[in-house]
Amino acid sequence: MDPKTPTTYRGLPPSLRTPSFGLPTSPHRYTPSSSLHNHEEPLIFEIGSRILRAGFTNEPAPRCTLAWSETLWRRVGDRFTSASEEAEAKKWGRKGGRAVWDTGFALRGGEDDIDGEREGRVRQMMGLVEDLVERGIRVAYNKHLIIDSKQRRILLPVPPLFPTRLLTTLLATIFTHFQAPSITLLSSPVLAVVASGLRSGLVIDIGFHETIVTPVYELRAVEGRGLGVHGRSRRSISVLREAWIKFLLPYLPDVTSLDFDEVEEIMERLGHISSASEHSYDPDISIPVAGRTIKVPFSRLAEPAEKTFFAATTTQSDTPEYGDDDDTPLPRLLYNALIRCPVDVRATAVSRIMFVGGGARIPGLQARVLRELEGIVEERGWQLGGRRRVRRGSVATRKGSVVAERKGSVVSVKKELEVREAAPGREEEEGEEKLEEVLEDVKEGSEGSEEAEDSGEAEDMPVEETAREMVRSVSARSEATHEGDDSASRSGKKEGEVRGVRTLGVWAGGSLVAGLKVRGKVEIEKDKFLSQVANGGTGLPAGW
Amino acid sequence: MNAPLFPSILISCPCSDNVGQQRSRRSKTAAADPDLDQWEEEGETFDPRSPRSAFSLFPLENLLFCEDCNQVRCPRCVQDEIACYFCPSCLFEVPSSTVKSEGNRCTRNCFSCPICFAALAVTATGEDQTGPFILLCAHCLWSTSDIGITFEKPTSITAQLTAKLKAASLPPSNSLAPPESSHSRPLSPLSQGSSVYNFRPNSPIPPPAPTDEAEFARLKGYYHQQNTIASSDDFGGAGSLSRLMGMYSTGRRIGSYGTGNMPKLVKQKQEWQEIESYRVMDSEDEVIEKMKKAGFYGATSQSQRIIQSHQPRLLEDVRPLAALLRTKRAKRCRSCRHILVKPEQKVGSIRYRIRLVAGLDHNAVNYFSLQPLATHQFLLTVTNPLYDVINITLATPEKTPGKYPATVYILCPEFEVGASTDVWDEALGPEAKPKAKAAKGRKTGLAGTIWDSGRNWTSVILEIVPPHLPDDVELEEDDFIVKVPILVRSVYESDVDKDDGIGKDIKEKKEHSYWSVLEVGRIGKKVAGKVGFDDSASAGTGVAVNKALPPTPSGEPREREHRDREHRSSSRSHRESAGAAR
Repeated sequence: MDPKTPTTYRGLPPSLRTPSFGLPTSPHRYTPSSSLHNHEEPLIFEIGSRILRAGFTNEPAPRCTLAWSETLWRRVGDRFTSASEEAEAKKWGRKGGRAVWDTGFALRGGEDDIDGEREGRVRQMMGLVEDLVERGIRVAYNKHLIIDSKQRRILLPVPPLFPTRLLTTLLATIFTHFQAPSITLLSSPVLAVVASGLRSGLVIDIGFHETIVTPVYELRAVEGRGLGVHGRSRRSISVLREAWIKFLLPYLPDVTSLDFDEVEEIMERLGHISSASEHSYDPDISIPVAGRTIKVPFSRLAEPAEKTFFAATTTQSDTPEYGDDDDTPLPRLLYNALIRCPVDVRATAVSRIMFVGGGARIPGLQARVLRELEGIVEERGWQLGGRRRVRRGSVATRKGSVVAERKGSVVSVKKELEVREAAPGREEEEGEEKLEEVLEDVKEGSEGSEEAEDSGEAEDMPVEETAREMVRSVSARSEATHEGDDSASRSGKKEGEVRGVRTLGVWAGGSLVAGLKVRGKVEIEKDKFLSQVANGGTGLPAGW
Repeated sequence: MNAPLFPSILISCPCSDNVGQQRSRRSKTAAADPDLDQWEEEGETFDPRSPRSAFSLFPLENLLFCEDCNQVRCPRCVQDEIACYFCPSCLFEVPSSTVKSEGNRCTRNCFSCPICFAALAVTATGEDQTGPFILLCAHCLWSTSDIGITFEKPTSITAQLTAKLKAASLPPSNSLAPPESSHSRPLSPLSQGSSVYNFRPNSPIPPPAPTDEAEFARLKGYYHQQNTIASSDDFGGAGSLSRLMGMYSTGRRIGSYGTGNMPKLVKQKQEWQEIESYRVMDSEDEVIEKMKKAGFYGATSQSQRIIQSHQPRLLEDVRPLAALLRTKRAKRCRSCRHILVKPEQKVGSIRYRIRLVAGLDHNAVNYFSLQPLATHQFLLTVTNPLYDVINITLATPEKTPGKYPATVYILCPEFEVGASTDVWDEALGPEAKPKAKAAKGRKTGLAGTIWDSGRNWTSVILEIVPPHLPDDVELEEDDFIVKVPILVRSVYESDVDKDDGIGKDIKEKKEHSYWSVLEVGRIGKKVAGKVGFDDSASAGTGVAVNKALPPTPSGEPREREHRDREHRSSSRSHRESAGAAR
């Protein structure tokens, strides 16, 4: 919004103001420009690759939840007989269950783009996204919200590291076809945290294409620190669907392929993760699939989801113990993300883990993930992360060799401490003093070597923290050793209990935030955006 | 629903070429690749097989025509304006002021079935039409008694239902201590200590899990309270939350008037607190047990689930759906704001005040059936709805786009279509008669000549040689269908609007061109002497290849074609596309 817009209140001494009477007026007397639109509360559109949610501010649930179903992909006015309907679905070599977009679009087809072929494909995909999203939003406006699209601002939750091009396409579609005056972008994990009543947490979004873990601290998503890579996994609903197909096919001899919609229906209705307790009662469930009925014991129906989200690897591999970087099982993924957080964030987030996205609906999944995470933490503690981080740091900061060297020395000090710890009875004071010395050196070193940019935000900052953490944990451990209590030395418990928190979801978070008249970090206005896009820009503010 | 799939003619609306995304794409590539840009500008053959074509091709009936822009307007390039709201079930017109508060739904007795989405009827279960009453679905026989709800009176069902659902959500075991108390407690700023709901299985009597709706209300109240507290210190306002959400307005404010004057206020500023009792994840064992009992058929399907606001997992948790209100909408052209459609304001009326249907400006086509590598001749009839004579130019690529192109040839791509004068003119008019006769005498089938023509229609021959589809390759259904893109260009002279008084006899030349796609038919297997057809194509009479013209009528489709034409020529309405005539 335009900060230059004059306001009635600016410049008035605060003492002249009436003490807060109306809470609706108080929030936006400070955000003057927004008062233009504030009498009209924004609409919240959560656009996912499989589902569109739309509704009004201050309402607990979206007015409409639309799946991007085959009917939306269909040509207007096409009349289908049942046989040809199937033919139409076959058209793409896939049957039903399509997602609007594929976030991996930029990666497919190799590195080099011969003859702009990939560019062409991406453009076609963007065109399709525009077509479909336009259709979906039009249904939402005309059928469910029943309002004139021109007046309302829109609040759009955006997942972390959402492809810019896709975002531009979405915004352009909304602006051109629906003439919304402005769109506010808010980070979807933050909204999920707001919808649980908290300010910090660890949000795990099990989506259709990927699972994303985002730590949120004081209503800010923690970014960088390798979370973009290590906080993501391909274990998602699409993988789950494949697992279900693999699971169902052996029951159906002479069937080679299954209808995606049918499989998704089974997956939604019966998929679960069994809890550890023994089930005495295990009935056979009749499942209609591919024109016949099969009977499967209920407990077996947990297999696909278990394989998808907890198996060491989902791809064929000779070394399943070393999975691909993008193929991390969920508990491990949470651990990976947590260990990359600063210690304060980690301590807060670990006891506020919340699940959103389609995968969160699988009953039993959340409990199992948390249980396994607890196991990992118990087994490995957080020290490993500390140690590893320093080692990683020294590798990563090869350029800033000074830093690396100093960091190396931190490691050596730590080793020394450990050695000493192994032989209890010796003085520890000395060791800590020494560490402090080294720490200061490191600090200076890292300040001096600005050119260690790569590792920059992720690696430089935590050095001190890491070392301190080490001191803390080492001393904690040695204290424990003194007391002779070994179990307490597993510092996982010290950092905070692994615990899940229920959230109302991203959409409800958006509804709450919009109800508080909070204006987002990024507010995009129609005319400005469109003119920027016309000039070849992304239309998004820098740093988005 | 046993309408034949073919023939169909679809008109391409060019609107997908000029929206924002296109601009962005063009400008993006303009810098990187000027050739690509140019190529796009020139526009190559419309590809009916492109996945995007499903969004730009429309049947005639779905198009509007803007007279000012002289352009086709499809459903996506119009702007809707709501004229009135009404319930489709009871036709009650809802005033716009109450629409939103009622949740865009009918608040009378209109409900639809949560299972099959048909309308529910209030039905008496007692003797002599007395209560209790239920809502019964006449289609799938689901009733509210399936979820244990009956009504005392047959009126104001919505209010009764709300009360019953509210009562049902309160668990009977905890009726002494309603869960509201535990909700409201943390709302008090005085309450100390963190009380965390523990829904874990080890706790002996789990407190009832508040519904998401209750939880939302609790959070909303809490946040608003925080807001009030924060703003009561005369400083923070929503600022503390806003600041946390990434806005730095607080700092600026301090700079603008806070400095020097009120330095203490900075200290007083209160942080926005976390809610003290949040919901810890509960065990889902119970849910799994229920799922086990319900099996596949007791669970909701995806479409049944997402239509309900509380997203129930099991059929026992569904609720009847209050009928969604509908609207009557006026439609404006997006570029010139000209009104294209304006319905009558009254709910009961289906009349339109203004309606500019594109059908009045387009044509209709007929077809025959297909065999690979044989020449098929089709009659393409262009009908003219205008009161002026039009000149038509048809253009088509020699090979249709796609993996297996068919060869297309239009024998007479340029021709004239007579004006749509009164039907009687053809029969009685002194001028029209000989002309019609001359036209009927043609039928030579030679290149460069039309096949036949009438008062306001002309037929030309379109030759298609479908490709031979390989047997060893797995083909997609799409490959079997012959889709012919045709660029239709019509030029005509019409009277200039006489309102200005100047151009009395001046004629204005108007030109209009668009891509249309003709889906001619499905290629059958090449069996000697026979053509195999998909059953659904309904053309399964097996027409032998007949290169002589006219092809001998040997099947039902041919007759229909004749009927079609008679119908069309005798009717003033020219919207009889192949589809409408079915």
